[in-house]
Amino acid sequence: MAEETTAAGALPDKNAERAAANRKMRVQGLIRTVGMLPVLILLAIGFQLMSGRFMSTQNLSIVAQQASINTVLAAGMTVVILTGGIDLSVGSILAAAAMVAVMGSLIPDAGMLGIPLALGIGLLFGLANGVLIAFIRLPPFIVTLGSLTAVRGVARLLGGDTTVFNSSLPFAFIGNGTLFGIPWLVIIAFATIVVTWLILRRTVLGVHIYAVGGNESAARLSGIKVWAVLLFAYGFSGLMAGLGGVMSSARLFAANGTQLGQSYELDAIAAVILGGTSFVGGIGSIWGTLVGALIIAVLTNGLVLVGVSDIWQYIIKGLVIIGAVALDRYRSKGSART
Amino acid sequence: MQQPSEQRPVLQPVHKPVLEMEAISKTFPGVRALSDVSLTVYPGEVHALMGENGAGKSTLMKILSGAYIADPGGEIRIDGTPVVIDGPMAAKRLGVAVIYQELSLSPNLTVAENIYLGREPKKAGQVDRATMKAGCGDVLERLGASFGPGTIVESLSIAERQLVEIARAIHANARILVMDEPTTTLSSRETDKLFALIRQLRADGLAVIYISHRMAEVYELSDRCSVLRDGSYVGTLDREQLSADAWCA
Repeated sequence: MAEETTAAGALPDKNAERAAANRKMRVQGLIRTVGMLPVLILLAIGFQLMSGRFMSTQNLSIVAQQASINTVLAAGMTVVILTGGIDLSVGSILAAAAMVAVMGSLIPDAGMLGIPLALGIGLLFGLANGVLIAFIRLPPFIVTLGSLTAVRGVARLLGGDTTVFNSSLPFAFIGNGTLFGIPWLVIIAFATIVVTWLILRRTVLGVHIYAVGGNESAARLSGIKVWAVLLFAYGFSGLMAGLGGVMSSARLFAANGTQLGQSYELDAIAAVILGGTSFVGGIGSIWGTLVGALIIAVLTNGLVLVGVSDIWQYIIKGLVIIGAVALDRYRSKGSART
Repeated sequence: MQQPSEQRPVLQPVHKPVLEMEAISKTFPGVRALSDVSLTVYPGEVHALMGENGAGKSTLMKILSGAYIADPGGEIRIDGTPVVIDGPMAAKRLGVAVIYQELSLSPNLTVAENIYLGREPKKAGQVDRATMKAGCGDVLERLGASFGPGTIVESLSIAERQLVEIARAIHANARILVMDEPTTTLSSRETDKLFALIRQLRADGLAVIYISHRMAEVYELSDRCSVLRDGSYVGTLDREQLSADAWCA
């Protein structure tokens, strides 16, 4: 809703009190969207001052690539959280999809099939989550906690619990190539953000996603097919996890069902929450998520450059996430949600 | 925008009923919530529906709005034509709108988005927000709203949110408006404003079914009053027969 409130323009408001209230809402919306942008810029400046090489073109390119897979997962996660749900299974789905991508790439003369196969398996698992949530009405947390474990098992099963390799991966350019000097990983990540933005802001489906997150029973009474919205949200999140699997396998020329994608769901959720999307659903924007994903990547990269030990990296990242959620609670209270 | 309230002609005998519910029964497992209830409502009238808690008012209205499906045997006619109301969307298509006690708006969306929810206009495959904004300006103005279509519902008071619900019903061309205890959460000033609005809607030819416990309100507002008791239809009184102690033993 953030763009809406900032872009709404002047209203023919009759009383000044209302206008002031509206302005306050709009400022809140603006803060929600760009709220974390100053944090991102400050972090970047801080790491530059401390390391002296954070802002180099080469390092910024590395940061963008490190952010790319999480950005793609977080785009799907944004849609899910906007409906008031959660998807804990994206890391496991990514691992399964990466396995399928590498195994598909080994098909003689048709290695590119690995891409659609991986996207398909991601979509399939996502839709399975969606069916359980939309039709059997199970809580999203429980369903996706279950598939977090189950799909992890599937990922290991796929390669017979081994690492699968393909040193001549036909779609290796996705992980390592560039287009006009921009890494493909970054192009793909940015493209998913734009597509998600188009869905959320320009389509009827987008309005319905916000409506379901805002008041599900009202949405149902308005004739919105809530099940279709939920099915889309989890299907889309699964598809994004599948895309993440393709990107990950293209980068590594390999996939391992046990290790790949472990706790990726947490980084994706952290990016969404850092981006100002409310955990209650219905409020948030995809641009905020992009900023959130960049903050996580900058933190990870910057802490390494500055020489902070692995242990302290965990502690600092965790505290940042808690701080962001505290901010979310503060904001919810400020806007008096019912 | 307000009409002088007491100028309306007495229309009921001339007009054909907009809604006839006849011999409606509803059985829940172990409970007979409604038995053989009838209700006739004319356009341009405020029709009070009264009865104690559990008398079946809400059940009857839920059947009208498609939330429940009546037992077989009864009939609902709108404009004299028998209709089947098998869900909220069917009721909506037939011009029945319910203003719920627990408001059914999305607080995170704008007034315009709420009014158009489920019926969003499209242009080249995209949501047409400009049309949405322009299209509900009229109805908001007609209802005397002090807020614009771009306002986020969360920033509105309860009375204003109720106004948005009424605007949504009118915008969807509702002809039968059901209001279930609409004044429970309003201040007396807000109640007065709501009553003025209901009178205006009546003058515009809407049928308003008004559910309330409060005798004073019913007496002030309604043209006719139907009473339910223990799931059965007791009777309907005209305004002239209405007085606080004429019935409801």
